[in-house]
Amino acid sequence: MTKLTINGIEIEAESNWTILKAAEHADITIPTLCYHKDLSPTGACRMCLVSVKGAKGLVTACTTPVSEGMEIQTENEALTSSRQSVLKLLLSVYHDKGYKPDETDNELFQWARHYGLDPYAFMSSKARYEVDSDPNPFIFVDMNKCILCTRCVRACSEIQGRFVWGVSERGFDSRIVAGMDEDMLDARCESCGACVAYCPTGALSLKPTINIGPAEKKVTTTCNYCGVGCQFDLNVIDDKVVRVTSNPAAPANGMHLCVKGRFGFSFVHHSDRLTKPLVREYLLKGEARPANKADRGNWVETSWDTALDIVADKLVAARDTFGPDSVGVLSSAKCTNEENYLMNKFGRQVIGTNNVDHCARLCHSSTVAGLATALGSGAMTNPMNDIYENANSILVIGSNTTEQHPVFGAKMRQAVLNRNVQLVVADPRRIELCEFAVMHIQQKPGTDIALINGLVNIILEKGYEDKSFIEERTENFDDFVENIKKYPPEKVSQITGVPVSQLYQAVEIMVKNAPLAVFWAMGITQHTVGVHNVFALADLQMVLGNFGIPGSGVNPLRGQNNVQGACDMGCLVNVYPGYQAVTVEAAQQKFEAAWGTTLSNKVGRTVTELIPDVIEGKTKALYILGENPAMTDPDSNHVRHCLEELDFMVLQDIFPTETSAYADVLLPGVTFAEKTGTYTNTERKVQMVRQAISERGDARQDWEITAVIAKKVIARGGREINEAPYSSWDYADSGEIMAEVAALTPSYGGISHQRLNAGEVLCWPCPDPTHPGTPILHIGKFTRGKGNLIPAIHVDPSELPDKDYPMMLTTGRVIYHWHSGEQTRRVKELLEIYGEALIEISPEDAAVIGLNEEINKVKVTSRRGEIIAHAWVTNRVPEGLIYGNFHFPESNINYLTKAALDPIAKIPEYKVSAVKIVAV
Amino acid sequence: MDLARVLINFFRVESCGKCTPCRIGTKRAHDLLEGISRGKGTLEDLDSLQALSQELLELSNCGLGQTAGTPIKDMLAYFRAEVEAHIRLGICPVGVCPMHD
Ligand code: SF4
Ligand code: SF4
Ligand code: SF4
Ligand code: FES
Repeated sequence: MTKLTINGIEIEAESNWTILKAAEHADITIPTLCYHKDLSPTGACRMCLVSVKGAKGLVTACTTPVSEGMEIQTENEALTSSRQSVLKLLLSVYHDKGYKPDETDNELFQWARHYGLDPYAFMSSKARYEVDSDPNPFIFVDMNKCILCTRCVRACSEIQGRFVWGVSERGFDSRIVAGMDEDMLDARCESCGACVAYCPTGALSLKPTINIGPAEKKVTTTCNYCGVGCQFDLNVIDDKVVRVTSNPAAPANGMHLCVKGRFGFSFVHHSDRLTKPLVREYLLKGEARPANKADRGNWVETSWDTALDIVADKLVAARDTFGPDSVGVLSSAKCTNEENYLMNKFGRQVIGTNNVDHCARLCHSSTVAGLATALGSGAMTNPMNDIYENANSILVIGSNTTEQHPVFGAKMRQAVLNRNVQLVVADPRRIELCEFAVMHIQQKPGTDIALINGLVNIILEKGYEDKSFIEERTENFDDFVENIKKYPPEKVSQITGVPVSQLYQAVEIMVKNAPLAVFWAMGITQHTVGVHNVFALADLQMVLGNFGIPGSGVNPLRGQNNVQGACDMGCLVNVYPGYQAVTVEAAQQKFEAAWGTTLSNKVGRTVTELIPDVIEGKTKALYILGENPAMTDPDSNHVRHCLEELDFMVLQDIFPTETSAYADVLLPGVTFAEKTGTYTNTERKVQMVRQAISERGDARQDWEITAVIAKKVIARGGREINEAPYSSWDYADSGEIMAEVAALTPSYGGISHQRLNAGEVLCWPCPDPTHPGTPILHIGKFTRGKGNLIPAIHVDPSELPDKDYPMMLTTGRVIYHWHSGEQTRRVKELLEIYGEALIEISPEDAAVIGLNEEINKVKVTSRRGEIIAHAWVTNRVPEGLIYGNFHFPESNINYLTKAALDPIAKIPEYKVSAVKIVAV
Repeated sequence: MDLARVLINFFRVESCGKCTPCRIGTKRAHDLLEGISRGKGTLEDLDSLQALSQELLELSNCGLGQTAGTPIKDMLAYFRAEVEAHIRLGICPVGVCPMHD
């Protein structure tokens, strides 16, 4: 502790504090411009000069450490005058071209006014640089407003890890340039906008909304793209979202966001938005459903009552004629917990089926199943910030984190840059993160189990295992070892294509730099052996004792904004909310008592079964909320055929989608900007989504739509539902739904909108209203008691290249788009930057098939379909492998993928199919 | 007067550009001295130069900027009459400055 006085006030400071930090702690504001608490201090602007008794001259508060007995003065006449001098100098080279700025954030203006200077009186009338000098579609560059504070330089390198900005020239000619004075995108800018968020003067601003002035209100909410769960402020003018700005208090991300979160919101106001309930003509005429979708007539706008009556009639008809299990309820990982809870309740209570599922089936069902069996809880164990601060090594396997969870990807880069964390990337592709890794293991697709078991084999051979952890906290070690013996390094090397020496090196890195945190995503889960892949990774971490401590654990990165929550809310075929199994009598009785009806104890059918089962007549009607199976499910041709054969489909969504072509009723729901509720991020943090604007047109709150359908179905009788504590569908708002969730879901027992709105950050399990939440899982004991070391067994992918289809195809997303693209394809700037699906192909294969400047398209064919798309020749993919995405309907890779399912989780093997490819 | 101009030019060129007073202050001071040497100075310029030399000394980050004000300060302290001749009489007493564009 260091004692000092600031303006006569005695302060105790830590010895590693600066004067600025000590002042902040005493609530004393010192003016700053180049300083930002998230960035390393630089002492450039000279605004923070203070006088220290006995020191020679003034000192900068932002870079001077405190010392014992210091007597500091932060305001006096002389200091005011020197700050005025600095401000006048800066303004003398500041030129405002006159476009309508959002001055509220301009720190230069704020301080100028604070010290009695009118910024407009002192600024320069001459422009030194071109205004809007960079073609980046998101970022408006006007170096006439630059004060050379270098916050952008530090934000790009220290926060985003991208090193785009630098200072060129010297002295008065110094200026901020991208890369080697080139366009930002050429300097490898990822358009995250961090530099804009940290720029204090508006020299860098948000291009899409440059000219619209300050917001009327800002509403803090949670991003609706990925599972990182970034929070930010929606800026609203005239009931429209006009921009997104950082909110420094955001728990998962602070000021940082990615391109989609910061710039991907304009879809909310896209003219394609559904604003009226739509019904197929044949329904209004009371006819039977024509077999061919083309004969079902046009969409007709109707009243809500008409549309919902039709929906209720049709669902009741299917339920009462063919049984409750003929109806499927597909909920949405894009929607809130409250909405998901209601979909689960609708399927189970109102219809009487456990056919309640959602797209987690397609992404992390193998994680949920695998970790629940091995550890007792199917979720990420450690928060990202904990890993950033405490892990000494990180294994990223099957996750292209910097593109798919960009803010976490940036955190990984920061961990490497700031803490020298040893990063090992295991991925068939040379993903961007490889640049930061000490090692890139390039295993063949579909050989992860062999790889991980091989590493464990070496760990055991070397005696590196954590014996006491294994002894005290796990079971089944002997069986496990028997299996591991079948994976000696040489054999593993043969299966995976990874050199033996690299396997040994990888083990050394991970063992010598404990604790190790493991991350994965779809590269692990989307295989016919997805569940076993997950077992293998849980086993690895148990053998190394990397559980229940900071900086460790197994960390599946959940894809959608609320896929964690949709699973938590019971939108899975085998569990009620909180993973209470439908097959366990106590759980069944609990929900029967709560909902006042009898419930099925039969595990339902998954989305990957429900849709193909249409052909066999087992599925008759579907109620789909915000999902797009025609785009996202494997083997699209077959999926579309099945959807066509349904008796009835009601789709509740914000846009007409590829799937809506098969729907009979289309109900307009609302976007995240128009609703209040909660999302649960991949770290199990439950966070508020807050309504910023009113519903568009006649669109209605999604939870209300479900509730009205439920009431209408119940009113039609045919299923006994009695008065019970939670049998009703009368909710005043989504907060009341959360109260019901809390009452019935032990892990959400203490979660309420009130607590979240009061600023609490809560990770489940949070069993009661005074519980602070549980950021790290499995401390001292696994959720299931002992950790289960389950033998993971390598099996080849269901389809491997052969002489007819000699290439391997793997699939995924790109940073600029989201899933089936319904939102991001409606954001003009995202399309500008990535406007069509590209097939990644290695230079070697490109040469073989004869790609060149003129012939730059490829036709890719699998046993299920074909697509044509432009090729991107890149060494991101090795020879023999191509990579495609599913963001664009015309060249959707899912025409090619195979619906081969993991036998336990029923997740499809998107990550491996055999294809042939020709240049066209 | 010419020596001060030459020296300030040296500091202007050598400034790294990191901190505000040195980056902008040396340029301002040089502009003013250039003006005087071309017969376009005013007496207010001398007040500005006085202030700039003080700011450079007090506010700069490193020795370069802190020193940059010294030639101006000394010029004004010891050779003020010579400088004022440029402004008030329109002549360069030592015959070095061009006194026109
Ligand atoms: S937008 Fe992001 S990546 Fe691009 S220059 Fe700014 S901080 Fe760097
Ligand atoms: S562009 Fe903005 S953040 Fe970057 S140096 Fe200039 S004023 Fe600072
Ligand atoms: S990282 Fe994910 S949550 Fe954060 S802004 Fe990007 S898409 Fe949204
Ligand atoms: S804030 Fe300390 S020098 Fe800029």
